[in-house]
This record gives sequence, C-alpha cells and structure tokens, in this order.
Amino acid sequence: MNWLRHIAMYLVTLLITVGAASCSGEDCPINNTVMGKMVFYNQYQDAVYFDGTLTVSVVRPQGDSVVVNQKYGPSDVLFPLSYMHNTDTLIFCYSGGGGVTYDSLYISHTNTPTLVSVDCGTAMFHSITSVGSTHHMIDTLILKSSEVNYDERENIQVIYRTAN
Amino acid sequence: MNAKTFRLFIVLLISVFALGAQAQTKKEAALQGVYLSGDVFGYIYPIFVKDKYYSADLALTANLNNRFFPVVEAGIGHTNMVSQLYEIGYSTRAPYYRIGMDYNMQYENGKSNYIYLGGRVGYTAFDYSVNAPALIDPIWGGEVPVLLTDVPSSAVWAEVVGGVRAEIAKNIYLGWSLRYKYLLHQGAVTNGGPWYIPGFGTGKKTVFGATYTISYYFKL
Repeated sequence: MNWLRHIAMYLVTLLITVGAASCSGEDCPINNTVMGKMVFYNQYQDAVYFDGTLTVSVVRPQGDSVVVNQKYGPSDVLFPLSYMHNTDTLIFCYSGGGGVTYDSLYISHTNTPTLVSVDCGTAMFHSITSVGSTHHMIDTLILKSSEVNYDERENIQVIYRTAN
Repeated sequence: MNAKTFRLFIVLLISVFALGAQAQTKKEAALQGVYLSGDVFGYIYPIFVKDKYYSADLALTANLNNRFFPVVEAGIGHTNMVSQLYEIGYSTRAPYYRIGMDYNMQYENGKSNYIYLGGRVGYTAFDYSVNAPALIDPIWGGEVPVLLTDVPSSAVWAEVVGGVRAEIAKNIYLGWSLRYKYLLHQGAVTNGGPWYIPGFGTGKKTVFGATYTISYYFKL
C-alpha cells in the first residue's frame, strides 16, 4: 500500500501546485483609452505653467469637442488622438489677464489596434509622426516620444514664447 | 524577472553544466537509464482557471550517474477561447521544444527519489489569430475592427526549474516541478503581440509554470 500513500501525497502536491500557479493575476489598465501627454516649457527649457485657464478642443467633422475644460494653471495636458484619422487638430484657448488667445496644434500619427490581453481587452495605440502649431503663444513643438500607449510619458514639449 | 535575476539564472545554468562537464572529465558520468515522461499539468490547470489554454509534452531524460539529468522536451500548446468579459477570441496551436539539464540535489543518498534544480531553454514558432469587438472612438466616433489572422510569431525563453521525482511502483515515477520563465526573445511584435505563447504561457515577460509528470524508467 506504499504506492497508494505516494499517490495521495502527489495529489496533494498537485493541488498546491495548481494553487500556486493560479495566483498570478493580471493588472489591467484603469482606462481603456490611451492619452498623449504635452508638457509646457519656456524658451530656456524650464518647465512652466500657464497663469490662467486653458481649454483644449479637438476639431471634428461633426463639430469641435472640448477635451480639457478651463484647467487652471496647467503645466501639462493629456490629449486624445483619433482612431481613424492620421492628422488631428487641437485648439488651445488661453484665458488670463491678457484676454483670450488661441493656438492650433497639428498632430500627425498612425493608429494600431492593440490586444492588451484577452482579460484586459483591446485599445488603440498611436505613433506620432510629426507635430506643428500656430505661433500666437507657442514658439515651437518638440516631439519627445512618439509612442502613445499605456506607458504614460512626455510625448510633446510645448515651448512658449513667454513664460509666467 | 529583472536583469539581475536573469544573470542569476545564467550563472545557475552554467554551474550545472560545469558540474556535469567536471564529472565527465573524471570519468564519473555513466548513463544509468532514461526516463520517458509525459506532462499532464497543462490539461489539469485549465480546469481551475478561466483562461483555457492547454499544453502537453513528452520528455526524454538521461540519468548520468544519478546526478546529472540532461533533458529534451517537446510538446504542443493550443487554445481556442473567447474571453468572457471582453468577448475576445484568441486561437493558436503550435509545437514547442525545450532543452536543458537537472541536477540531483540528493545524489549522495543514492536513492531513486530525488529533489532537483535545473534550467531549460525553450523555443516555439507559431501563428495566432485574434477576433475582438470593434474599437469605438469615444471622441471622433467610428469603429475600427480588431481582426488579426494567422499572425506569425516566435519566442525563445529560459526557465529555472525546481522539482521532485519519486518512484511509486517499479520503474514508474511521479514528479512535479515549478518553473520560473523569462522571455529572452520574441519575434516581430505587432498589434500588442501574442497573448498566449505555446510552451511559455501568458506573461508578457515573466511567468510561473508547473509540470506534473508520469515517467517510465528504462534502466540500462
């Protein structure tokens, strides 16, 4: 009957092994939409914030849509990219002591439908290929990191003509 | 597993092979027998979890002086599941291969039951398909289909192995092992890459695995 005892022992170890292997869970991203990130700098490459409110809208065929609404004192903003277009236009509306000023930002990108995992779903990742803008308050845009995915990183540096 | 842990694995693997080489130099190594093993864990594990992917493999293990155990493993991994939450279909079916060696931590006892440590290097080349609900753009609107068909991929990984093997009847052995796997190389990654890699599992970079084997020992 010694072999029966061996089998019983190994069945127990099997259950323990299954339990141990089952413990590895998966952390899914909280949001299912990925966002790019812009960070604001002055012409000396110092990080700055805008002393006023910033509203960001995206231009769509069916009408503009506000994606950042009157954010006060922003030093950075998160922005979405379209799933089906290859160039998006964002309108920055600055409101402060000097009145209201607008800048348009143009972001060209590619879109990649991405399987995160069967348990976490799918998402649209993007790769920014070029950036440009008008120059009312913005001096230049620098593409810092092209990949827009769940690894939130500084994608675009916005260099302002004047800084607060 | 970070780079430090991986270096530890490489050192361990080199140490095991170095010990083997040393034993052969001293004319100690002698082929005493061969284990033919079948791993059934890959069909037991899915019973207990929601992700239904399966694998089964056969292994040939040489017994060198009851101390070193070079091993070759070959198996097949497959899945054809639809996840409950997101209704994502994922399918693949492909063979995988591993080669490595175990070291009997109790070889001085001279018993046929033993605890071992070892390492493996695994490889697979496979195609996978994904059929997921369309992505809906929440701001601009519109739908983008997520349909990937027979995407080719491949993977190479390393495993640190620890386990036991015990004789339950004459020449019949049961054994289990726990494995820590580290993905060394992955073929072209498109659209997020594969979710399940045959022989490796579902981790992006590291994953735990296990085997539960039944073996027959051919004594020479």
